[in-house]
Amino acid sequence: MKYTRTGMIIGAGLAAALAVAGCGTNSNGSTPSSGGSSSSGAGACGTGSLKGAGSTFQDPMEQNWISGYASQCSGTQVSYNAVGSGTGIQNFGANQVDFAGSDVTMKPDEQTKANSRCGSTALHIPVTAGGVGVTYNLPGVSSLQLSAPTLAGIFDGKVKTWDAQEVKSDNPGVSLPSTSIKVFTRSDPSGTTAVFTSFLGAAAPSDWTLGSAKDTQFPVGTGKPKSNGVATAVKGATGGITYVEEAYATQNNLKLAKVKNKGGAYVELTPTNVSKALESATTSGTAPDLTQKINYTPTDPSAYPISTVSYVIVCNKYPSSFSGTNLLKTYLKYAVTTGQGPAVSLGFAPLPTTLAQSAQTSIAGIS
Amino acid sequence: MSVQRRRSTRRIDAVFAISARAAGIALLGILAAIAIFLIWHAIPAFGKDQANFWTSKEWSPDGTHRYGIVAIAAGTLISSAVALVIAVPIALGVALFITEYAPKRIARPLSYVSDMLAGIPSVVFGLWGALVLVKHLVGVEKFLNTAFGWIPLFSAPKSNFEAPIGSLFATSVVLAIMILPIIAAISREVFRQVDPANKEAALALGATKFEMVRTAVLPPSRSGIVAAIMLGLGRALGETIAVALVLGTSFIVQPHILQPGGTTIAANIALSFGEAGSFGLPALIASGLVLFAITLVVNLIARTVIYRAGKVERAAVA
Repeated sequence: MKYTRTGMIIGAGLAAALAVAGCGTNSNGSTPSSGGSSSSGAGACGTGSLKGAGSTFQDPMEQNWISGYASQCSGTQVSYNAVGSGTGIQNFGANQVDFAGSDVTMKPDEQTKANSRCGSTALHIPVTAGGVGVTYNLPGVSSLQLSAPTLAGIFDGKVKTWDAQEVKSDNPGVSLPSTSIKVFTRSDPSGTTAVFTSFLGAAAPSDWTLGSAKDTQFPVGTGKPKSNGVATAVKGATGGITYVEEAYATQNNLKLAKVKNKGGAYVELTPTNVSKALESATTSGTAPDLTQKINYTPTDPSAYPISTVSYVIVCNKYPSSFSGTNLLKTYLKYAVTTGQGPAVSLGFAPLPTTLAQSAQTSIAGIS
Repeated sequence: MSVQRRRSTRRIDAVFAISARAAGIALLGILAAIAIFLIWHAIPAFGKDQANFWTSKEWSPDGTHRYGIVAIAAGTLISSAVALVIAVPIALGVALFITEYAPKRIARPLSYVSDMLAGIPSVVFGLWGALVLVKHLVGVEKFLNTAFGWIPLFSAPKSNFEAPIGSLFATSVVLAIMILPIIAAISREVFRQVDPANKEAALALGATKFEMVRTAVLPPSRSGIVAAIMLGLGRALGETIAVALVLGTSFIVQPHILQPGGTTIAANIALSFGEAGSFGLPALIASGLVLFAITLVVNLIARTVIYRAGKVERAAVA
């Protein structure tokens, strides 16, 4: 425990002040915290410290929330360690962290472990969303359109050159070079790979037969570590292609292809188009668990099909030994309300409004 | 006074003996603890595997639950072997140059520099390798391919050289640079131990400098050189981050070193650990157990080689 007593008192005072001034605007309808054992800021600020770990994907958002939350609730300490979704889930199950960040839902055995750690159900609550982009390096080709079957062909090695018939028919009127296609994939297991292969499996089921998982093996191409590794590899290789989060493509000045959705439209990866696609996702968990069944075959003409949400994993009811419930609830509430604001500038997409509201309800029910 | 003094030195002696023994036992204990940990956590991996762990090239423990050691073990052995082929001649050359040929004012700074190279963290080598060296090696790889492409080892399709993807060869070069200073530093010290009388005797018998090195310096240094190479090989086998950054990985056995592909046990553990699930973790630990075994076997072979060589020499002398 690093915080001092005076710090806590000052923090509590500031919290009370800010509850009126700063955070008051965001309390649209959610019930005030019920487990408020601490005497300080009942509304928007908790006290003490909170530890989270997991998904590297949502890390930029978490760091943004941490500094945003700290600026309105001083004296609190929230930390998030981007160790990867798998490790985050394990740490959560082993009671080493208070919440986990994950791009994928827990497997049955992980859920069992998490439930027994909580003494209640461990919940998935979506906190941010994003699209997986298809980025390429083809000098002279400023705009590229790809359909799911073509992408499946490229990533399983059937489509070998950029002027192959499959690519041509996706791009009428575009002059494509005969350069060979150099596929780059992730050499580390990744939620990004899981999302991309899930999309291929759902949108081109007869073409993509390699399954979908964090560690799906591609029969072609070379593996590079992490998002940054694949993005820089594509940048250095004419004819290169990979799947990566938008932010990394932008950082490397790489172009993103438009991807054809089930409605037949070639859609650009933008935050709005991601949110649009997620509107057709359904909640497969029973509330308060908000596990999403992502719809990779949206038909809306502006829905970007390779879109997904990223979760935090929390206990529905924390063991009595945990004193940070109020802090956790106010932090997460900040994340799914005010905290959605900077999503676009960080390369993420805000949660669709209805989903954000369900998330608020689930968060309010944590005790 | 003298009795007291003797008593106190005796006590120090006893304490020293005990602590030395404790250190020795601790080392064995640590080794045993690692072995037990690896075996204990690896066992579930063999049962859960949907493929054969010892014959499968796949690695998708959390996806298809099919995984095997073949591709990653092959990548580990190939990259380390190529690294040794590159590093050993240069390292021995450096060591001989410093001890036998270089004037003192060059020899000393050169030893410092080679020792410093050994101290550079591997992540720095990795970054430099991935961002700089890989690009510049493409030319060398192209040359090797055009000159020796008829040897399967150096064969590659033309498109291979269109972009710096990170071949096994490039990885081995980075590994070679990393292990070079270790091998050079130890062999240098070994060469320094050679009795000057032997060298002078060789020269007095009319040997040229090369003959002197060959007859008086190298033979008595043999076991020391092998030990140096083993330490270098140990680092190459276990190198993690440099391989992960440089090599374009895939789970295949890649005998064509100019092409990307393959990966190593250590790099795969480092890359996959964070996202490993309930299947992935035991699978990774099982691969760690194999690496542990490979290292032990390599060391045992080296010891046997030294022992046999020593026996032959002793027999020849007698």
